[in-house]
Amino acid sequence: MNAKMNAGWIIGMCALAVLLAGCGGGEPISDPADVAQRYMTAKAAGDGDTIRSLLCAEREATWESEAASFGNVDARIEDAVCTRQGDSEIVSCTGAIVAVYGLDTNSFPLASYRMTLEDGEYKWCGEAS
Amino acid sequence: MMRQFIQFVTVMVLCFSLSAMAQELPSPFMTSAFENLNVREGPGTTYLTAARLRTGVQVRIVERNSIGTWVRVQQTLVDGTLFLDGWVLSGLLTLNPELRFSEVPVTALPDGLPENAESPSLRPLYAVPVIPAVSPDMRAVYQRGLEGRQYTHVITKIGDSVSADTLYLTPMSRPGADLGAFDYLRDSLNFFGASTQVESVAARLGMNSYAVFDPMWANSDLCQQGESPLICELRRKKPSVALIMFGGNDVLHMDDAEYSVQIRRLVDETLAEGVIPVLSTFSAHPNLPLWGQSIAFNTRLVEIAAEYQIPLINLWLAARPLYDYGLEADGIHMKHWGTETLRLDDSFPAYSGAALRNLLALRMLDEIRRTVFLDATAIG
Repeated sequence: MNAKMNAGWIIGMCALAVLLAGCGGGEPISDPADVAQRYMTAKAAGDGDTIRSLLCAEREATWESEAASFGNVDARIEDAVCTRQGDSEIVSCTGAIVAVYGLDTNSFPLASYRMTLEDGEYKWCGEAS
Repeated sequence: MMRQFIQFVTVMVLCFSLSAMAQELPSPFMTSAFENLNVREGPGTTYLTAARLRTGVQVRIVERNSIGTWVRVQQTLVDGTLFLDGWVLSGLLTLNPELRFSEVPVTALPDGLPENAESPSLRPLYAVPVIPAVSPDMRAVYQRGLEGRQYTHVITKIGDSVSADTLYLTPMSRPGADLGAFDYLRDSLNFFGASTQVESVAARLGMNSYAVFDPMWANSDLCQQGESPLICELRRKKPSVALIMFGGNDVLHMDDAEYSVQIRRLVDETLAEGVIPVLSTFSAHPNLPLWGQSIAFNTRLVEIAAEYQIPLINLWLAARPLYDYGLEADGIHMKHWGTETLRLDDSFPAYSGAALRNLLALRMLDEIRRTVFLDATAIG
């Protein structure tokens, strides 16, 4: 009987834990500023897998293009700092992607980006208008 | 008898005088090679070599290809017999400054003979002319552009560092630009030239056929937020024609299927704006590792141009006889010799990839202006 009660107690606690976890599901796991910065870093590196995982559904078809855009240059991200604008879905980044082609170096300044919440994760969804 | 003698002397004096005059005023069609040349049976490297033309030997130009890059020359002996008859590159001849290609008949021979290609994979590239006839379909595109207030006399360039080159097209804007023997291009030079002064935001160092759609590559001072370099360029310049070339860099990082998708997208977006897209094959060096891939890319370009019925400059074919195929040591960029790059007839310094490419662009624009534009004399 005791064993049965203990088992019931354990199951009950587990159910409660799951319920509480479910209640806390409203909070996104990812930080939009961090996602934006990771996205831009992946773009400079041509990291297609990361780009694909961080792109919003609306732009999913462009992942290959996004990953290959800096494919002909030696690119790196420099001094990137991304900050969420209040509680909005806009993240503003400073810093740049620096691209070297032969003897020429070009700087591509980072901008403000639109982030969307999809399944509890923030996704990068292009430049903010 | 005496009268006959006087007549004979008069005729002889006249003949000698004419002969002397002819020597003083050599025909503009007379020329000589400044290095020993292969003389071919037609205007291209796929034609068989028929003879050799030695440096300094005087020959007469009797025909040319549609551009003027190849000319048919003849050498006649004193007794009037034809000793040499065949085709050579005009860029390797010392041309008379008075020569005008507008006065030289144009041959009907094709630029290449696919059946003589070094390998079967090259046949599609030898089968298309260097400068094609422009499809009537382009007139509808041009009309749509006019309705969208496109400027007839404005052209632009879209591409990577090979196109961003400041000596590509921009020499057309120089006042009094010297065309040498290529006088027949003067009207088109005057028509389009000024528009080449304005820099293109869609031709940049390191740009590839993906980046041209990426707003991050757009000039933030000139382009609207979220606008791609391509759309930004077409919006701000409103050109009637866009000269497009990607490939030399793309071949390093893409396969031909991906490349094909990007080029199609470029063509679709350009046509949608009422702009005539002109594609171009790119030169490639057979000794470099990506030769096979370059051939595949260029073949895709030929297929796409045929499918869309859009003009294609076959730079690959035209550059075949140039030293190092007109390329710098990196195998990507077109070689320069000096800055006079609108013609290919100014002896060795002009005989470069950059000069050839400008000449072909101008020749293609000439074809479009004469066959597609309704009022080819209109300015603005």
